[in-house]
Amino acid sequence: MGKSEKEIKNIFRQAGAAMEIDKGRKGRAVTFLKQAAKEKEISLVYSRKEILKNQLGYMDKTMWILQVALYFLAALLVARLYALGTEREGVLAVVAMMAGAVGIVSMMGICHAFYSDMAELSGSCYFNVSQMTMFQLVYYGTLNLGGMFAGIFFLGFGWQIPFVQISLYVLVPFLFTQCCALGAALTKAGRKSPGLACLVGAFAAISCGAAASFPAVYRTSALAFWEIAFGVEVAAFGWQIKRLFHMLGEGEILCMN
Amino acid sequence: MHELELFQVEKTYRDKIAVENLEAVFSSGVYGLLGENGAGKTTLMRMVCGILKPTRGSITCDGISIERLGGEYRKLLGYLPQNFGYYKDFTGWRFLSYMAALKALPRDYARSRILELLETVDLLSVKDRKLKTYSGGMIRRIGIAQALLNDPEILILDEPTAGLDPKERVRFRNIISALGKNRIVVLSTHIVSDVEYIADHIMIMKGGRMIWTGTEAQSLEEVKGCVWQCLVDGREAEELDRRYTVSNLRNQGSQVSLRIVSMERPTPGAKPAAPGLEDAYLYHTLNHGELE
Repeated sequence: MGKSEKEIKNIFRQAGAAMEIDKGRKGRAVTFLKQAAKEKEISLVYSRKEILKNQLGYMDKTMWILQVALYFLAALLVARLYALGTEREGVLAVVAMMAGAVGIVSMMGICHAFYSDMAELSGSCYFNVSQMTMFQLVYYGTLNLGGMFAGIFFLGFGWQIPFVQISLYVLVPFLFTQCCALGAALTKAGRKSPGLACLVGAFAAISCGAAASFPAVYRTSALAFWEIAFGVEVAAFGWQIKRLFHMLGEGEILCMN
Repeated sequence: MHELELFQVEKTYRDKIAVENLEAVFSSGVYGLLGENGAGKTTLMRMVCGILKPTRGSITCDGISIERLGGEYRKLLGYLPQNFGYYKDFTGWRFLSYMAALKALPRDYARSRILELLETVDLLSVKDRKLKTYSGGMIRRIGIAQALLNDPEILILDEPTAGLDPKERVRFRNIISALGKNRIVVLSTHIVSDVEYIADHIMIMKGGRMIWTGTEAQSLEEVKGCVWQCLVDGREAEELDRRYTVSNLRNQGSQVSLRIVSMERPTPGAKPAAPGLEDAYLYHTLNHGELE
């Protein structure tokens, strides 16, 4: 009658042991299988550099273009103000607002990595959202430092302002706007409506511009205030970036619902 | 072949427990994850994909935490989210190329793979059209294509047939059935028929908990003798609908044909009926199997 599973296995084992295996044929089969496996093998791109290079070809670069365009606009504006012989306070008020605008665009570009419609999907990929965000931070950081210092050099030279002072006059409004925009973006309301970060950033930039138009803020005695403000903003920005990566690690920020 | 293990996995938000003390093991085959809206299926899927971090518990792949594996785990993954987001101005081709770049696929391989998948999901003729011009079904299909780009060994599909017409559903089922042989496929849905034809294993979630797991045959065995068919008048139909769990109601002229899931005969004229997966799903989810 019906055999047990163990009995059936034994029958097969005994029959298998009695069979002579053709070694030559076995060897040919193994070679064939190895060849077939090699053809199907995917050699993944492990290099971060190559992944980025691939991505650069396909990713949406609107914010990058906008950022570069803003720098060109800022350069043209400052050159024009220099040609017109504009006074220091006037130029610095404009520069403060431009620095703020650059800060807003940077933030929008960075936030795009995790607020875009594709954030959840991207989070499951080999090169995920945390890495993309880090890449965007490095990109915008490099571009902004380069652009800012070029502007700082020109402003210092054109209006005879010491390098340290002009650096503070540009970087403080820039960081202030970034902190405000990023802070808004990381709130619950900011996650639902990315325009809020833009609005808060714009308000911050305009406030900086307004404050920068007062001659009193450029006195030597006010320098300490600028230095403290810069220190506080660097610390605040660092804390916000740490918080951002913590939120990316937790994941809720990537999910639309 | 890999093994995914979930051990005491929990996800808690400020005001709610989305997934509670969940344990499961996935090895090769198609797993159908059934549950109503809000049961915790999407949260579970997101945790398995490493997108959401569990509040408690661990998810391991071949014994190693998926958090620790990081990119190495994500290399094995293919994921289709429930709310599938995309850049509307991208063409189908550009979108798949972008996803291939995110999945770290070499360009040449990606190109041939994209062509192959576009043909599989029947979107080759529209690959150069922008995604915003695609219909809902076409979007879903391109979503399935991107999930398969890296030939994943672990495929997670969250409500993959949402928006697909019956013909597309059948095509999708055939694709998934073929894939399930040597990989883990987890397919979540609240449409029982999606799972009925292709799942090797069925899991039912309710209120964040896994309330039942097993094969279709086991689920039908458990509900044997609890499914009834009867033909009654309108007033009695209303009364029975109020008192029992009705899995199907159909008007037949002046009378109403009811299919009821109940441990006792609901009405003297009711005849026992062969249970289907939908009946089993209702049996397990409504009152957590404790029926009147």
